[in-house]
Amino acid sequence: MSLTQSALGALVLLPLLVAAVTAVLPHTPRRTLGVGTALVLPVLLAPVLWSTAVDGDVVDLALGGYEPPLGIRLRADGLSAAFLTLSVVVGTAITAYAAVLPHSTGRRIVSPPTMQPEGPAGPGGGAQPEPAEQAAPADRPGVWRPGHPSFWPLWLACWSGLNAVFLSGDLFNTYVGLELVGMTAVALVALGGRSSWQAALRYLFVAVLGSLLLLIGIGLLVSITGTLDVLQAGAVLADAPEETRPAAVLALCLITVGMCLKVALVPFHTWLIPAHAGAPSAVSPLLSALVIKAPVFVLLRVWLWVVPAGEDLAVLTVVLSVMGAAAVVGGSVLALRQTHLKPLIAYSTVAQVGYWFLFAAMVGGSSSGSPEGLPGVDITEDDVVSSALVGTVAMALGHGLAKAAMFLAAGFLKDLYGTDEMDRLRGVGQHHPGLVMAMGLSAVGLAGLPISLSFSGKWMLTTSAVAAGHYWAVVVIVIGTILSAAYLVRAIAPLLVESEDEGTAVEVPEWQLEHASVLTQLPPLVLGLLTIVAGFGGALLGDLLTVGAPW
Amino acid sequence: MVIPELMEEVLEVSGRFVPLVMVLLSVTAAVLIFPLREQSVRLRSTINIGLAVIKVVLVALLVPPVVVEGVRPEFSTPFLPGLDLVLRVDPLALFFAGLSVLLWLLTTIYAVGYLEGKTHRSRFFGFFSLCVTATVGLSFSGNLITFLLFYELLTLVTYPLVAHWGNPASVRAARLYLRYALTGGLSVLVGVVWLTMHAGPVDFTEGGAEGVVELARQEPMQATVIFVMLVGGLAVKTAIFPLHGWLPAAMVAPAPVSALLHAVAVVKAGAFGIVRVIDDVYGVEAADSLGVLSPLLVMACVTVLFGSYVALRQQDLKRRLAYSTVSQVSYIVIGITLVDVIATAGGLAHLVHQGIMKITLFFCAGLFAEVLHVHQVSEMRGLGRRMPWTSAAFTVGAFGMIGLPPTAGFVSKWQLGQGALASEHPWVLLVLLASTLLNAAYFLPVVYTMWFHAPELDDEDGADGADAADGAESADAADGADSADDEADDEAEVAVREPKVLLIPTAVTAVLVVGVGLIASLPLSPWETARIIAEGVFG
Repeated sequence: MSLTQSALGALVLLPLLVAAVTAVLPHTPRRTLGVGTALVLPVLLAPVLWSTAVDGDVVDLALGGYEPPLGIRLRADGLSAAFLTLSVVVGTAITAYAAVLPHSTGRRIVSPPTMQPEGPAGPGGGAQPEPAEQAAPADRPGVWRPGHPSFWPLWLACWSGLNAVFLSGDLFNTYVGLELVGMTAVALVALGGRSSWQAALRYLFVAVLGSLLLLIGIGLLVSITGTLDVLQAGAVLADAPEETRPAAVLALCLITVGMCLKVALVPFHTWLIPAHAGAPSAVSPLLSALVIKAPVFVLLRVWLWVVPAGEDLAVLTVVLSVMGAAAVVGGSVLALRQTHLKPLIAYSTVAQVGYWFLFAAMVGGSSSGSPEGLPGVDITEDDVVSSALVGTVAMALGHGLAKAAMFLAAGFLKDLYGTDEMDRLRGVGQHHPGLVMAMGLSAVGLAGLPISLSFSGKWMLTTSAVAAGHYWAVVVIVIGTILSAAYLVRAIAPLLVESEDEGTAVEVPEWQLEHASVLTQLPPLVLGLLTIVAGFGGALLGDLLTVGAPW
Repeated sequence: MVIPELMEEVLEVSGRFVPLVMVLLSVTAAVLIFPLREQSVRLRSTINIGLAVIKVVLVALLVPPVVVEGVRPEFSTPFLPGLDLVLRVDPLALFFAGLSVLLWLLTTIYAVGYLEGKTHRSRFFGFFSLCVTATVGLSFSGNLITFLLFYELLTLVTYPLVAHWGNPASVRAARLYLRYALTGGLSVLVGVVWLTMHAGPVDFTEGGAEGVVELARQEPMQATVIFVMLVGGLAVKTAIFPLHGWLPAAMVAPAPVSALLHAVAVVKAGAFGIVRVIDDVYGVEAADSLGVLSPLLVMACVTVLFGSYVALRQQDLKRRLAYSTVSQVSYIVIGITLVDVIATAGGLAHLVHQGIMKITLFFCAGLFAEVLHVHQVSEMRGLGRRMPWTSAAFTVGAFGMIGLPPTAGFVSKWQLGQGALASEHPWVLLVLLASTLLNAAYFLPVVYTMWFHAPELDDEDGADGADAADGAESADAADGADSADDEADDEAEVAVREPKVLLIPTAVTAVLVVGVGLIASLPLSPWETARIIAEGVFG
């Protein structure tokens, strides 16, 4: 087992192990261990990224030495490496933020100080917040305090799940990883205190339903291919199209619907708004930047690697791309109508999800108006799909970086000023130039303006749409860009305007402003800068995604 | 000549990095300035002005090898699969870059004085540097995609500058600007994607990019639609009627920002883009055979007349100047679309000449507003006696705008007229004449009011002036005491001394307005360079 292969295993297992350990530790060591993990993961990522991006090799690891179809295989190809990088980079930044500002990890209920002095900062073992019912009926009701130590085991387990999904070489592991991500994400939302429990419960239903559909789909695939391994299943389906096709299409439909639920594609998006907007400041960015990327990854894997494309998928691709277009336009319009910062950003996620589903149209093949034969056009079917894939992945990664920065900044403002109502936050940007800068940079990324990875993504997607003759997708992208620029300006501009009269300015205690040290502005700022810098990596990403590609 | 030889050697070794270094210098300035504290004025000004001077020197050193010897330093790096970012120095690039870096140096000095004691200066100068990054990047862009990147970057980084004061009016104006510019930018974006699909990465080539010329021949319909999208988008920044609405609104920005918006950065980026698209992407011949140049010419003529007419009706000085810009920038478009060597050269020369003249006027307007709080044309009575140096500079700028000899404005207008007569559209000469009359009609009364009306001896005004003039009043009052004459005493009383930091850049540009006009026939003058470029375009 080479170094790279061990790194592959460790990327999944280390966070899981630490999560288990932290669950039995008090608060401070949890933080220390969490930060330690966040420092180790980039080191582990480096060799994997090196082999895939520089050497152009697919990294393979059969756990325990058992080869598939019997054993479990971890596999890092270009697609995995791209998403894995996102997970590690954003995860590390958010871990740093949560460590610097424990307040951002949620709200916990503690007994009133008279009964039990301010001793136990972290309740010993419980991974779940103490039920409010226990405290409520007592004479002295429980007191809500900022900061929740359960964040650490939950987040580390979630991180492990994300890496498992991105690295999984077989379908069952994908399911397990996704389930881990879903369950921990639900619990992370619930850390936001009583007001977010309802959102968490809704999220739980959606997550479970989505996983269930995925499981049935995978079961179907196993029954016709006899293997769980992604590549082997894909090979079987491609070799024997006639007898397997109906079941494969059914499985694909089930999996697609399940993943659409989890990724909150319009019209399944209603759960996302309260969950992402109500979650604690350190959790919202995780949910928007990373958690919804896992189902996207699964979709790309299944559509491109497992079930071969065909004419019979035409209806499904049309439905998906129409839903995607509706999400882009609808999500943006709804975002424009928000009065609060975090819901606005959550709706922006809904809109961005739409872009990733325009991809379905390109997989569905070109429409009649294909411009082949024109001067300079030499784009084949595979090129259409591959550049659409590069575009979609670039947009997903760009969104991850930008949205994490945006949600971190918005959450910080909400924690500090006690509100995220945009009218009341008027002018506060002057106290936090770094934060506003981070928001500005990430706004460039979210709107998909140059220079950002999302812009590169939009470029590739537009190219592929035009090549396939789907001119309507270009219209959708243009409208989406205009609308997103509009709602982002609406979100950021008030922060810069000076209050018209001093009386309406939001007041903030001195100590809190002092508390808002430079260090807390750093993670959003770094993520914002990465949004821009990553814009130069379009060509690199294109090369990376050819590693282990199905064409 | 040792220096050009040395430069050539340096260019051969590190040639491809020269344009990159130019762009990076400005980014460096921004990165250094953003984290600075408000109080570190000296450090910030040193970084700003130091780097600006380095850039001016670099551009000056590049001129002989590039323009005379035909060296083309080039840097390229992969950006997207199959697409490269290309930075290349050619004469046109150097022409525009020269204008930007020179005026930027002056505007920076002016801005340092203008913003003294005001808030958020690190933010201002940070974005200011990013803005020059975008302009320099624009000028050195070697293909359409690179151009597009910097074009959009320019939109984004000027937004905080327009919104700088942070009051509702400026935020509103900035939002309007963003709305116009982003929509235009998207139109350009779609055009570029479409064109790239058919013609590959469109490299700027004199006489038209290969694939594009091919496309224009085979698919004139598509080529026309793409042309309309590209130029339509660029026309937003160029403020061609009816896409000019943002420009007068953006007047709420600080004076140095207005100066750069009008003279170098935004409107010129649009005009420069139109020049690139017509001359180096489609090629004049291909564009002409598509039949798209004549409608553009008509639009430009309408804009010239419309802008002048509306300027005539403005009472606010900055608004009058803004509409004057709307009109003047379209001269460049007229020059390009006349399809004639002389007219093209005249248009290109006007790119530089208008920049120098307009920046002078805006510097003056800023000075009037800062020192005496004069905003309206009607308040300008007797300014010639109160602020003689500024008023003189304003007069020179105004004469340039009208096109009186020996100013720079005369040179470009004369050549445009010559070109119009030689081209297929001699009627354009009438437009030029009408516009000149209108220019005179809205500038000469201002000049007359300044010099030949007695100053309003309003106490309030005097007090304001004394504030701003930093106690210069007392010295003047002492002078005045010698004279027994009442009138002379009044005159001394009202004369105020302008802050030197603001006055020096203004004086330099005013001198340039005349100087550039006088040296027009010398080698490497803007006009001669424009002629070389135009000859290259027409083969």
